Amino acid sequence: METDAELVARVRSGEIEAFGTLSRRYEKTLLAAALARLRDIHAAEDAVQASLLIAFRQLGTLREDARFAPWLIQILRRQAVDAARVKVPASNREHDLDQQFVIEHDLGTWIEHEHLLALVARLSDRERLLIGLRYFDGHSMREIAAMSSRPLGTVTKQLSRAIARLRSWWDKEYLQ
Amino acid sequence: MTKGTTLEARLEAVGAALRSRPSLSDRVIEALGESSCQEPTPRRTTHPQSVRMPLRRRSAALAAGTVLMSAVCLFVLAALVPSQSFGWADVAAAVRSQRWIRATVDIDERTSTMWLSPERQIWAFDLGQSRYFYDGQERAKYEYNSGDQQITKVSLGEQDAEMVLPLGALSQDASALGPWLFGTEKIVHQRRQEIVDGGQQWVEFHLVLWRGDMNHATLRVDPKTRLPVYLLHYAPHDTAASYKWMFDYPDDGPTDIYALGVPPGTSIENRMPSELAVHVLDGMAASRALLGDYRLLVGRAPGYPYAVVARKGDRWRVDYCWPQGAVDPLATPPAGLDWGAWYEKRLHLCHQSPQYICNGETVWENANLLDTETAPKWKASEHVAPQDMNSGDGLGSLPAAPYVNLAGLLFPNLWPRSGWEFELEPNLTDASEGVLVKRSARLASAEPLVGHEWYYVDPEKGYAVVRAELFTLPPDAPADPTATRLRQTLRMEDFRQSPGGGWYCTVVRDTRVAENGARAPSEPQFGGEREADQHPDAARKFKTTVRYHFEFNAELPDSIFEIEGTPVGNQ
Repeated sequence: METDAELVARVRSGEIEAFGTLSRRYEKTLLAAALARLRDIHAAEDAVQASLLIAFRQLGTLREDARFAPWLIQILRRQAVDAARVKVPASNREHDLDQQFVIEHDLGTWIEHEHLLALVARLSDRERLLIGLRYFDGHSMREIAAMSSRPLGTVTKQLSRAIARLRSWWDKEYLQ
Repeated sequence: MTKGTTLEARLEAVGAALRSRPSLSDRVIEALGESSCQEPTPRRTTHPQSVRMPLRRRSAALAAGTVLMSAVCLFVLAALVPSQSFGWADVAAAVRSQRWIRATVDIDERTSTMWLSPERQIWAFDLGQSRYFYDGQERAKYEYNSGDQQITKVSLGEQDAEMVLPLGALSQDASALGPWLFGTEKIVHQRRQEIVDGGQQWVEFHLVLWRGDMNHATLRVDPKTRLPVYLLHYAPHDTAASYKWMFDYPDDGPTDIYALGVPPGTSIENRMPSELAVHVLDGMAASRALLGDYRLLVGRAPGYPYAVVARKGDRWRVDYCWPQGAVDPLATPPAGLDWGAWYEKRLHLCHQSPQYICNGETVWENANLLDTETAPKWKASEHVAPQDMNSGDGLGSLPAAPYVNLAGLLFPNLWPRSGWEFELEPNLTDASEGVLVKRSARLASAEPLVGHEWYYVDPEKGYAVVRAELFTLPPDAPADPTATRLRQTLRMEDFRQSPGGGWYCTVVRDTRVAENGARAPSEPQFGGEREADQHPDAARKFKTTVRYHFEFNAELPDSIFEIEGTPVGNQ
């Protein structure tokens, strides 16, 4: 498996498909982060799509190729903040409850997902990235270690710590 | 899911739901392939340039409605924008001297007309399919849609009253209200210019509204008469999309809704609220204004302060807090400290970024909010207006700063609106919960659903909402929050009074419940396994507790309401 730095180098040389590989690696991690902030799946997808386009066009501004993932998340954060600001004000809605939320989702599951995503958003950037790659983008631990050029043991320990932290918050705050 | 489900399984379920969504990467690669600019930028040595992305899609209907409402309100605005060369009072006097102000616009080969009579307190609008007649003296508004068998008569709400009496309201405190508060619309930025056109001198105001795709406008005023001539309403990114309102000043105008072309004999459905309801709703509006100046810490409990708010007259600011390093976000106050003192103690553990600064006329937004290492980058907000801080819009007024507008939560604007059912129950079994204001409306959902809102209002606490139930049911179901699968409850606790007599609470508990076997009315597109079906006894509650710590005697220097540096955009 190619590392992020190798893929970035290929993109710089003009291979758009390499950017596709990069973006597929992180897409759902980004989507989860956007969803935690925007609480609207369509707005979150818009923010992710915009972030990926910006990342491609501004790849020249990335100083360390190996730091692609945190750089991409930083772009996503800005997009999510902008998106939150342009959400339709309450006075444009017929009702304060999120109608789309009512129509499309199983409420109970959605609420649980929403709270879990909010907890993940509290983690440090590194831990949040690990959780996202493992559970949202569905990468194996070996793949995560390879793409980030870090030892498998280190990645596994960090993930365990992140899970423990999340579990502690979840039990303390949300289990009634 | 149930209590027994592991956290890892929960994360997997979220991941499965996310992965069931269409691939965004494929779309991006497709877009890049179609783009003429396929190459990423070379490695930079200077600061990156910002990229402006298109706004989120909106429905054509909403956009058209927004444009029209913006224009409606700008009609009122048009007569009231202050000018440096001939002054606010001169413009107001010129408009006040007119018996009627009329504005017409051609949209889709149809002419729409509006009237305003400051003297008679009438605002009327013939939109073709819809006709509106607001009577300030009767404190009622009449609405008629083509095809309806009757006219609906409801009371004028807080904002409606401003539309029929703009001059009266503004003359009380023009400087405080500023150039933006007119009807339901808000001007977030304006620039004045004197020009010569056709050999004549004109004054033009370039305005930015707070919402809508066509949120830019140019108002031309005749410096000789001090009266508006036209208002050009346009989209900033599509100059072909525009409406032009032309003003004139006739001697006569409509005196009732039938004069707008409603068929004679059309009956009127009277939905005016009771005297008691008007008393309660007036009381809520009055209490909202009583909080006065303050410094406020807003925080979750357990947790840390996430916002610091300062308000001084019509100026305010919000600073967002980010916990740094190893701060435990779920810590609770040690013995001997209350929540306010605890939040103060923890402030230094947080990085504070200014999010909004309102100088009384413009709300500036920090575009660098998340970038804690660089200085704020200020731009005039196109989505937040100066009055939003203490508006009655509840949680919706500052969507990027949740729970910050406490006045809006405690004293929401519940005046009856078209399309909403309104009811007041004065005699509750449990007298401690005061009176109950109920309202409901059909949701814009694929399947028929009604959204209900019940507000328990305590007359002894300035008509503050002490409990709110928001819930959704099918149209034929009796309204009962305990019977629904979708329910949100807000409880306001520990009420106190400001030095000025304004009531406020220090705790808001927000609970959402998904009851047994909860499921959506249609198949979920995002939700993964519906384990509630397999575990019908599993009821779920999710709670958020927000705490407020007010300081009414805090020192609030004027300088904190001014931005540092040069703002970007809209200049």
